Amino acid sequence: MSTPELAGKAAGGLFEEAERQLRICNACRYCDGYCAVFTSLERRPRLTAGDLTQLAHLCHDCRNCFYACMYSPPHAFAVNPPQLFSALRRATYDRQRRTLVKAMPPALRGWHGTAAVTVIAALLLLAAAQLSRGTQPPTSVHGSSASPYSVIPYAALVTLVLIASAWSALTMLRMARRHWTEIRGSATRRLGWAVVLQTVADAGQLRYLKGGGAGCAYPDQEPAPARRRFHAAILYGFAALLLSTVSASVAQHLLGAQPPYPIASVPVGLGIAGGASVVLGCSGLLILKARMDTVPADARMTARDYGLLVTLDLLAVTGLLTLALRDTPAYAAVLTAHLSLVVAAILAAPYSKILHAVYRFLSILEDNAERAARQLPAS
Amino acid sequence: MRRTRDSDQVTNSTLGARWDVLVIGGGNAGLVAAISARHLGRRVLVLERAPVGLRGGNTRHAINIRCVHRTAGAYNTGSYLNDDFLSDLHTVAGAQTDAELAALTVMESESVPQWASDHGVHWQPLSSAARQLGRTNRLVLGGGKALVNAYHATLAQMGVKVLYNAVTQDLLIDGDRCTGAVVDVEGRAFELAARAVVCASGGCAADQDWLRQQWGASAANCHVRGTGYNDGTVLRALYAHGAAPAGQAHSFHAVPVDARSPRFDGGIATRIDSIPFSILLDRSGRRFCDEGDSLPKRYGAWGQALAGLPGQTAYSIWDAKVNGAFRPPMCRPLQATSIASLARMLGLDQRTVCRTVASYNASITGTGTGTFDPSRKDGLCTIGLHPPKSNWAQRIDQPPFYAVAIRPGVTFANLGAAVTAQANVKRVDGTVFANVFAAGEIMAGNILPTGYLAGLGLTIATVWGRIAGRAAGAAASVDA
Repeated sequence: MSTPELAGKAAGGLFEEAERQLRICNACRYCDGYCAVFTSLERRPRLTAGDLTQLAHLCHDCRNCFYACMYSPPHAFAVNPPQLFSALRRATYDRQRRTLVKAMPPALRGWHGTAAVTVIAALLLLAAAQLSRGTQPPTSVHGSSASPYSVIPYAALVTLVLIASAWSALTMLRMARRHWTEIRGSATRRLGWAVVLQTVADAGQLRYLKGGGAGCAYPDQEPAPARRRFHAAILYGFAALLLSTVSASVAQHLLGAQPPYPIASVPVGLGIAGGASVVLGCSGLLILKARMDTVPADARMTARDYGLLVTLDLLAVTGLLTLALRDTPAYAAVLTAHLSLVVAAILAAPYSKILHAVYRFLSILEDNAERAARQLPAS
Repeated sequence: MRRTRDSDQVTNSTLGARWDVLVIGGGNAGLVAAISARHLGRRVLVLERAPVGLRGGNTRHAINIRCVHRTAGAYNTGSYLNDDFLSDLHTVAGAQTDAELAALTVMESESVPQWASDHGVHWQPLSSAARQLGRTNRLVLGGGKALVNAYHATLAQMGVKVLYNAVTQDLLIDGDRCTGAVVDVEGRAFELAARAVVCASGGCAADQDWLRQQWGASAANCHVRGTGYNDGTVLRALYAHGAAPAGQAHSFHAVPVDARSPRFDGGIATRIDSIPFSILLDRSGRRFCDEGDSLPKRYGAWGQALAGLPGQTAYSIWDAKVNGAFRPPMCRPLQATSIASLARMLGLDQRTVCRTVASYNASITGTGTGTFDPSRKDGLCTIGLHPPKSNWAQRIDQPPFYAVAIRPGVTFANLGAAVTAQANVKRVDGTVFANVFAAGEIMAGNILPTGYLAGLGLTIATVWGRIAGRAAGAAASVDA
């Protein structure tokens, strides 16, 4: 009997290779304690494309399984779940993106794509600003009483941001629904509040970056808490920035206080804390990624990871710079740059890896729902 | 910290130095011995035969460890006391086990989990799925290779050097003392001087000569589930220098594995779990045994039985009804819509196979003797069939039909070197090597001369790794 599937990669595509490797994982099961993926696999005797999507997004790339696996390269079985799941996640992003645009025009791909969208956003902002100002000349924009609305009028800013956000949010909602349908398969079970709350807790504490207690084997095989901590800094920093915007809105509309706000105010305080946290987290993850073991990585996915991290880092850095330079002549330029990047980021979001938050949340939700239905304990 | 590169390791200072303790072997036992000797402040060198990506010997394939514990806890469902452990050991090993060493192993096992945790090992908490071995054994989180990684990280922190691709060919013996070892590092032979040596180089299951002695030419059809590096080179060197053997020479543990799996290093994933729920045919297309005789998971008996068959091959056939009642094979089983085409795919005589399945099906009257239960003997049996099937007998009549060819896969051999209670290797003439110690699979035969007890391997490796490491460290402090 010939054994073409026993040594090395399967001849077919990603699906065949995923089946080949996961059959081995299912026969071995030593990694059950690291995360939910392997126990989820056990419940899926006949793998479908939806199953693979579910498993791939349940995986948080902690890489413990790769270093614990006696079949990982250089063994002939060449089992490499982190790389496999990264490739499967990349396939999800590609598939979802194809529902937005058949093929990304070369001019909008990669770095120059992000730059192009930022420039377009800047032009839109300035055009909207000009329109709403009409024939009034721009007021003097520096000095301690400088308001951001003297650079970009409030109406223009809010309109542009709201339109962009509405489109972006609705699009991402549609993508979320598509993902949910795909990973649920034919399941009809309902979601209880306990399951939802459990998922919020799991996502909020980045549970699966704890590696079942062993830590995350990143950037190399020494389990460490760094990745989870840097990621938490980004997540909570981002939340603080959102709160900052909301609190500014409350201040402006409910309390009648116009920007600029003093340093010792809620909006600015949250903005500084949030911005610094995001910069710390993104820079930390970028440094780790530069040092990481590339064998368990999917190279093309890594490129996209860098894209997201650099963009978020730039957003936070320009935001902090805007605050730092608000009493200088550079304020208008820096503010415009920051706001352009914000609008560009909002527009680019459905095409970007920021969706990982949505896909992973939904996959954890599905997994928790499955466990509840079978009365299994948490992983 | 980056993985060690194979190339930047062999320096003149490494080779020219006189080491306090040489540890031959980088599996559980060797790593524990090295850590223990290092705790005494000795200069320790670990000689790992494999390249870094395959380091750890058979430990890579292990996960269970069996230790005395007084209460249930996060990792065990109940207590397991000294007498329980000793009783289980005697059940499988019979009366030939060395009573003193067995008692010592059991007693020392109680402190093993804490020691391992202190040195970086994590454990897998119990899940709700009732584990058969949950009372007696606990699982290493991630399995043996994760344990090997953790110990290597500990060794690096302690400043212990590890040489990879370092094959120990012989020991340098002068009278009753060892002065070092002859080691082949990346193709070049060196003599390494040492004050004490710990032999933790594994057993001899991958020793081609030994395998041929067991089964003759048919050894070629037997798989070795573990590392191909366990070819017993160091064990034979010890014998050549007068070491006494321990463990029954022809005893080994084997389980059914997929015939398509690699000859060496196939590990846990190649095991076939279908036998009790299927029927087993030999090359002639006939049944030859009672597939329902032993509890599911008594794989050891099957391994031995397969070794005696023509071609060392059997064929397990089942249908869609039971597919999913057991862990699926790593590679897809053969699949067909009829028994005849299945037989054709297997290369067996169609008529004989069809007749076998038909007479098997005819012997199952199904008159309410119970329901199929894969977790215990369910009493569903054949009537008037020879050989009978005493449990899990159901008709094979629902397509698709599945089959997989099975061969014996050797897990380990019981043969090894005899040791004292301080892990000194004993000699045939009644004396003892003053500064040569053994730990792990190479001396497991002292405690397990025959038979198999799940989880005992990692226990023996840790207990005797500590004893040997400390003893070697102490011996190294006495200037020769």
